[in-house]
Amino acid sequence: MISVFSDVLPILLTGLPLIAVGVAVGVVAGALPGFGASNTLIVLFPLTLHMEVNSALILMTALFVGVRFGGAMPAILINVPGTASGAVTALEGFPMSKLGLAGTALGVALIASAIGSFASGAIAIVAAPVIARVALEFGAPEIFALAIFSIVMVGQIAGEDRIKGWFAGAAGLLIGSVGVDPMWGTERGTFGFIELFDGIPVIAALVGLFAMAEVLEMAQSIRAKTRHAARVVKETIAERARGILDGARYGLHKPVDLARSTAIGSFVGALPGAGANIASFLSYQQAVTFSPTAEDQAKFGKGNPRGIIASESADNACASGALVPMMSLGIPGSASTAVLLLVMTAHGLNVGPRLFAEHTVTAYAMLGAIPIAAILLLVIGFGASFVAARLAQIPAPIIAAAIAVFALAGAYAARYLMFDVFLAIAFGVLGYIMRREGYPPQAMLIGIILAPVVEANFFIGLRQGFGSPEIFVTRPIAIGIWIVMIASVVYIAHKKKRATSRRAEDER
Amino acid sequence: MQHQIKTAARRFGVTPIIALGYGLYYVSDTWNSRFETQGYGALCAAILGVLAVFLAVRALRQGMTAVAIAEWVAVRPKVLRDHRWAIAMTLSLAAYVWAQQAVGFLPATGAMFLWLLFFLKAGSVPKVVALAAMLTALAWVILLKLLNVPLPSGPFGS
Repeated sequence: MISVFSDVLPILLTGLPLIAVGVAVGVVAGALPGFGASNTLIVLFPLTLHMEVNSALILMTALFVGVRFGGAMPAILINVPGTASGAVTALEGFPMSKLGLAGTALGVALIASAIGSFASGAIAIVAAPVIARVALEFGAPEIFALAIFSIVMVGQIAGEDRIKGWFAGAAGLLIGSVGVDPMWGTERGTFGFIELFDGIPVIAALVGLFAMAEVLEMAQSIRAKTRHAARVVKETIAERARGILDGARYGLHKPVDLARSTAIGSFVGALPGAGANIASFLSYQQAVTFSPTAEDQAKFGKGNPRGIIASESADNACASGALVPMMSLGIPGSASTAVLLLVMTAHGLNVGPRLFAEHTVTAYAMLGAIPIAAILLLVIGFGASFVAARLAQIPAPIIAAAIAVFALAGAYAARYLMFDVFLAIAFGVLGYIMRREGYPPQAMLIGIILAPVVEANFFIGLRQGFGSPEIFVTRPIAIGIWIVMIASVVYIAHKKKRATSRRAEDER
Repeated sequence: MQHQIKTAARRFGVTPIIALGYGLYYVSDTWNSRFETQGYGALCAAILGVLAVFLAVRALRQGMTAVAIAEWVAVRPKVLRDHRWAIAMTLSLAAYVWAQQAVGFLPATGAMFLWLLFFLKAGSVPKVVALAAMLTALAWVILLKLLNVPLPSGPFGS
């Protein structure tokens, strides 16, 4: 362990400027409405292809940390969340801004984000290798069950309709198997395109389903005039600086709230499919429930900084928590972790249980970058808070044009094939249609990424079972995974049903 | 009836038709091959089929009668018209990629930024031209100079 530490430390120290750049770019990109965490990572993906593996990974991890806080700034200042989970922050942050406490709200968000990232990063450093060691005992039936579990959960949670989510996941599993089959090398579903014989280029699918679909969505909404200008709350620089420091002090005096939200975020992040918005909402609900006085509880929704602590620390902790299953099991639970997985595989890393054994230093360097990025976030986030409102007001046409060109270049840079760029546009159209009809593209993406894992382990399992599929449901760990999956599906469906009926009663 | 059509569209949509169509092609393409080649795809297509039946049954329960389906099909051209800006954007992107191969990355990108900023109404003519020049310069610095991505050079050498 000490030798690993002595190998990792120089990498992190020499990578400090890269971590700072990653956090800064993440904060700026997170503040741009419509950009989002996964789009930021997608657009910057080509940057990493030409970098040395450790540098690429610590840059992307730092970006991953910065983008979470970036999303909170426009939510607080102009009520336009940069990320989905920023919507929860806006519930308390924007009312605070209207009361002239924008600086304080930003300070609370900054300290909560930094502490959430730092603590969950430390948890990930401890938890990921332990889980990976356990997962080394897994055979094909267990890995198959885990991959299906991940797709089912993402399908269930990502959209409003679980059947549509599962449909998107199953379609992803089919699309992801395009190309030559792993056993005999016979090509399948390629329409005769030689470029597809190696399989669907995942980067092109990713760029299409997310970045291109977003560009089409933006074009449609800008021209159809369904976008609205945001209202900005003004503050002087001195007031803002004082407010941020006051907010940070306030956050530090709420250790119980910070610990609870970080724990919720780290746990939810490790669950496949349960993204940062679920972690933020859950943590916010708990903050309301555990509010110490009735007076304090009544302040929720009107500008209670406890709500910002709950949302922001859970959001950041969730991001680091999501790295645990991705790195230890090779199973991404969200679009952003899927991009990180692709960055790792593009650099030849075998992501999964063997990662910590085969690429020990790289894996620890990546996780070690999280706490360092969290510390740097305090400084960079402080500076960015002064220009956040301006960033959030960069006109949507400029953002759309920039995403279009840079994301398409990203699709090209993966294999240097124009075919991939056309494919990205085709996936963009599909992603646009899917969003409009309520089929979550995240589920399809996870299906595409996991398809080779599912297929290979399906056939290996069948061979181990001498042709009988019984092996998938008779081994103890596999049985455990299936039981947890079914229990989770039933529990979430039950919770959703109760929430719907409660809403109907309220409306009545 | 309009409500029924909307419900039916929302409940089912075009996505399953695309996915099932591709699934059918995939399975027919591998038909009669070894189990290891076709088995997995057939399994996925079967799951897609079952889920599509679920979605269709639910849509039928929501009032997707034969008449409603016919009306839903009949309003597709109108839906295309409603989404004309997204369609125009798609065509612009495809033309941009094609143009890159014909004239090279940099001229195509410059023209693309100019067109997109006009199309998305980014402001007055001088503002759009200045923004397009700035974004093109940024693309040149990042993609060609810093990252050295071998993007198509075309007859203009860039």
